[in-house]
Amino acid sequence: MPIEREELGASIMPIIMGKAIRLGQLMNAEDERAIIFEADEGSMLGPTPGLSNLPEAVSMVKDKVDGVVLSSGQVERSVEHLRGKGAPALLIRADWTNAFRDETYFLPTRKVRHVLNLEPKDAVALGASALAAFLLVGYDDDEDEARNLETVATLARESEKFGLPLLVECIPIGERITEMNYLDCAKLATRMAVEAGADIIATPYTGSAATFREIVDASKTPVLMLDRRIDAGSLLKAVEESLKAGATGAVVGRSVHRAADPLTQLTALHGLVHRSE
Amino acid sequence: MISTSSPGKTIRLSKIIDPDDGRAVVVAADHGFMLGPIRGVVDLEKTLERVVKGRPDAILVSPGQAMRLNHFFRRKDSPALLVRADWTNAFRDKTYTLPARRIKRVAVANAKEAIALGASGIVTYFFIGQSDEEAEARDFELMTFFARECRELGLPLIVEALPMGERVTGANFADLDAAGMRIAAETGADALKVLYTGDTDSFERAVRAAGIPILVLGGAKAKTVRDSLEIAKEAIDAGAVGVVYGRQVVQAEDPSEFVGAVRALVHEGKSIGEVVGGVKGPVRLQVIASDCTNCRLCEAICTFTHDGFFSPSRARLRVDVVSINRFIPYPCTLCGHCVKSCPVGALIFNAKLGYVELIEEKCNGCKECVPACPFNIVGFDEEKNKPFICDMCKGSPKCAEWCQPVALKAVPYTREGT
Repeated sequence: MPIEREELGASIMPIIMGKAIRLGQLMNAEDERAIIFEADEGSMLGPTPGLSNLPEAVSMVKDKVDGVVLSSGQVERSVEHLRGKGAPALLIRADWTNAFRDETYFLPTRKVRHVLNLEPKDAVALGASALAAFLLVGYDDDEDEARNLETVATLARESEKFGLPLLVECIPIGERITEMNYLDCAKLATRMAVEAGADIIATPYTGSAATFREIVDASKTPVLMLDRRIDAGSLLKAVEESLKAGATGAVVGRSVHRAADPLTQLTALHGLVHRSE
Repeated sequence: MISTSSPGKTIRLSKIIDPDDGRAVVVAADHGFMLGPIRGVVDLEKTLERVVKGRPDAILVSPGQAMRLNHFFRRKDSPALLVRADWTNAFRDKTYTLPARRIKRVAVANAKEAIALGASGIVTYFFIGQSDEEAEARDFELMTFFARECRELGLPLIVEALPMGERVTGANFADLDAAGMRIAAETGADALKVLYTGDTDSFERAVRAAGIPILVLGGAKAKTVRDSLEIAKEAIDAGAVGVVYGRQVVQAEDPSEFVGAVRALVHEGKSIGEVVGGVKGPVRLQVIASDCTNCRLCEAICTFTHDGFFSPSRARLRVDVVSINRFIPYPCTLCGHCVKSCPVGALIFNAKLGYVELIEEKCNGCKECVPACPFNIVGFDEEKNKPFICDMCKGSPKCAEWCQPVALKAVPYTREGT
């Protein structure tokens, strides 16, 4: 969804032009959809299988994705794969969390923490087309949720000044989240992010096209399906349903780099999202 | 004209509170930020399109929506943009999918950023009554931060001072309300968005003690439209400069009509009867003569409504006794003969609300309208030198409301119906 010139006020023109141009870099020009590859897991979980050699992973996916999420420290090492008009757009992870260290992890989370790790201007200096940040709901302590929202709002206000789009990944997580309240919490988180100023939303698949549509309808900003809670085998089905529900594309990580054959998986995904075959 | 020590604040506040009458109708549309996509704000753009048509003085939205929906605020006659500068989980009650266990509040935009978005003011909360005193102190601190910044930039700060938290009870509510208002005023708020204390006396005292313009939350505690309008009216009579409506507007069947009705109440000084009538649309009176019992309550309530006392001779309708058990009520049929007969144009037909209106200043007392009425229901007040003209109680006729056998019925007005 490109931002139309006439839709926006003259007073905020300089800001918005930057956002419009950079949002354009994230999306496929033909269909305005996007596949974003998350390759920043290492900053939160260490060297995980599939991403242990990061430049290699980026090189492998670069022709099949529209954007790559990296942590700021990894940009330099993958920079050769990010050059040129056809290269994936660079999204830089602006925050860090231990939320994904689950019970199977060798150092499970005892208290979910979320911190900011860079300012939008650092991302501009690194050549980013967008920032990526988490908005988690379901924290045990309401204070933490409030701080997370505050961080997202701060990023939104700061990135407005640089015309840098902000992708917010909205994830219900933690003990307070049940199957019963999952959808409502996802709706809450996505709408909070939109109202805080996110330009693109990513949120886990909610199990059906109908429920995912509720999120899309309430966001009115591009919504990407996030592959959390989804394994390699069920990715394509979930993406297909999400697209049916009005999703703009998908943010993928594990469901691709942990697939038996990541490239085949990506090719199939590309075909689905961009209808290339 | 409300003036402050800062020209910037004075000018910007005048976009929110109409300087012509010192009144304001504000619509709050920031629910999605606190509660997710609740009914009425799922597609905020569509809702605001309709809200804007009702011409509110200002609309409150979150910074993200202010950016996205900036086009609603661009014209000279557009509503003023108010930006919500903080976020809270306080409204997620026990019934909410993820209830708040501890009230939290954080800043999401500063005054400078709100100015860049084109805001005429920012709105922030101040909660009083939380169990943790530290939390109230931090709330206070955040408010002073906003106040200082707003002072520097000439941006009006509207504080939503609310009794909130475990220590709020029915007994201390009015006092907490008044205290919150005064604390916010002393901190540097330029206007307040508050809950009604519950009664005129305590609200009047609180308003006076705050000393700055007060906008009352009309719908917060009301169950029906009428209740919320009653609260608004009472608060305005007690000194509030205007109202803030949230859910009741965005969840209304027709948000523009609702805002229009509130405008009529706040800016035009219309009565609730008129306004609620306006919400329903124009009416005419249908007669079911066979049900009339000749009780004459219609005549009584008519004069009581218009004159303040019971005097059937002054009634704007009459009941004919045809035989011992057959009676015919003759209310105004909106036939327009009186309007046509008036040589000075003092009688006009109000098409929007569907009644004949007497413009008293124009009327010269010539009595032409009295014989012009085919039903003989236009009387004449010799004392005031003016005719009695049925005004359909400005859209909500009391005669029909009180008619027990339902021989008179208010039905939607249509051209064919007259």
